[in-house]
Amino acid sequence: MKVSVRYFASIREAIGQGSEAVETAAITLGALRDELIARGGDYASSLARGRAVRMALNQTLSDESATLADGAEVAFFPPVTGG
Amino acid sequence: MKPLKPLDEALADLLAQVQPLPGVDTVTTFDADGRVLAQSCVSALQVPPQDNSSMDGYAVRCADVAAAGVVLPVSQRIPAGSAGDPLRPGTTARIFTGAPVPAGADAILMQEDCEALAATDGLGSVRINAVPKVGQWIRSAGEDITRGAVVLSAGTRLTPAELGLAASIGQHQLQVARRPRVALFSTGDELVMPGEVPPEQMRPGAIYNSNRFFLRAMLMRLGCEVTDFGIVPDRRDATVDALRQASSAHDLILTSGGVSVGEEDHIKPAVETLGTLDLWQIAMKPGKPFAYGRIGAAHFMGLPGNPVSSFLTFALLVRPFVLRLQGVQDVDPQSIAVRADFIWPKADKRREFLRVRHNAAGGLDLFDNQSSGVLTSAAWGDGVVDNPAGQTIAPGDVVRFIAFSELLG
Repeated sequence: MKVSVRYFASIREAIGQGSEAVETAAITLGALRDELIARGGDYASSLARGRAVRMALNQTLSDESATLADGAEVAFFPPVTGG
Repeated sequence: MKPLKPLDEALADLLAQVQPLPGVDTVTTFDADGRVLAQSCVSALQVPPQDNSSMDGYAVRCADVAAAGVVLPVSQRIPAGSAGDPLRPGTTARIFTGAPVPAGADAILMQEDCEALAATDGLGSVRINAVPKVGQWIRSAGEDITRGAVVLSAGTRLTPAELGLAASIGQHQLQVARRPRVALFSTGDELVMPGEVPPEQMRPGAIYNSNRFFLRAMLMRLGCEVTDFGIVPDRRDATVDALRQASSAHDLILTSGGVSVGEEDHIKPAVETLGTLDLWQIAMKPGKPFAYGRIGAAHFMGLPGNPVSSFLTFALLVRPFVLRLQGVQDVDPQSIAVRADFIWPKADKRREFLRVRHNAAGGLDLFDNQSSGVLTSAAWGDGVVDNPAGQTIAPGDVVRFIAFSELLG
């Protein structure tokens, strides 16, 4: 299936684009994140496990277990946290 | 022109919009600094747990020491961390600071008032050179905290002292409000990020984006998670899209710039496309333009672009809002009466916040440039004078001072 992936703030700056269409076999948001990490390079570093990344699925804040559907819109946000 | 909105009214209107954030985080007490307690801490024990000595010395029964010079045999030795035996009448116990007072003893003599005599057998004996009073140098059980006491109440912002207090009643984890999620946008074509263009190559009219730095830092100090979206896109549809996406994942969208009347900007129409937006003119100086709105469940706030205005509007409106989101009840910065060592000859129609600094004599000096573009005043100062509208200030007048520690922390 095909999903639309959006990158914001520092993730967007690192990856160098704000959005892309992604052909994916992933069933969940977490699996999609893993697929993107597997591309390596800036994807791997900015979406890496252990980094705080918030995700929205169809403009609703969602966790990694959320189920993807064809045509879904996924957004990645990088929060930074104070002390 | 709309009448200006008093600052207090603006703040009350904002706070009326707050629903405390749903959800609670459980964090270790080590990691709770700066967080807001969501559940009160009730002590399951008393502190200190038992009567203990606040001196190194000797525990006695006062009845055994009717006069100075009495000699008592030492029947036991009680270091801190060990429990003694009941004190036999007619004897004394060597005791150390923090050690539990043995049953039967009702006073401690500090060792300076005692004279240890050479041991002929056992622990020897001691001459008591002072007459003790019942209870002297004894810290009573529960003197600091009684069992069942609310040691920290929900809504408390935790500081290092509170972490220690929570630990002293055995709390290794605390329930705290979840962090507010804030999306930060900057607006302004003239803005250049430090690092992108060296100072000597700045084109005419360009300025470095400073607001983004202090706003982000202030939000983080208030316990927020910040997603820094940078400069808003230069196309209206892209702005609408970015705001819509941001609203799905954040509790508050904060922008700096773009809310003044007549400003060339597509933030206003973009927010209005997605939700609601009210433009306020607030009777404060520096400051004045402010926007509040909603996009879905997210709050939207627009700060003025001018750095000092943005800084103070954040401190006086956004800060209390963000704290209240986390359940803090008392969000008013404390102001104190201090003597002005300066003259402010010209009254303003708006309530003014003058950047000042304490001098060695305990009075306040005024930063000599109160222009709202100059952040130097905020870096130089240690707070502001909250000066009512229409008020001049003469040297020696007592004014209301609000420390930056009250506004920024």
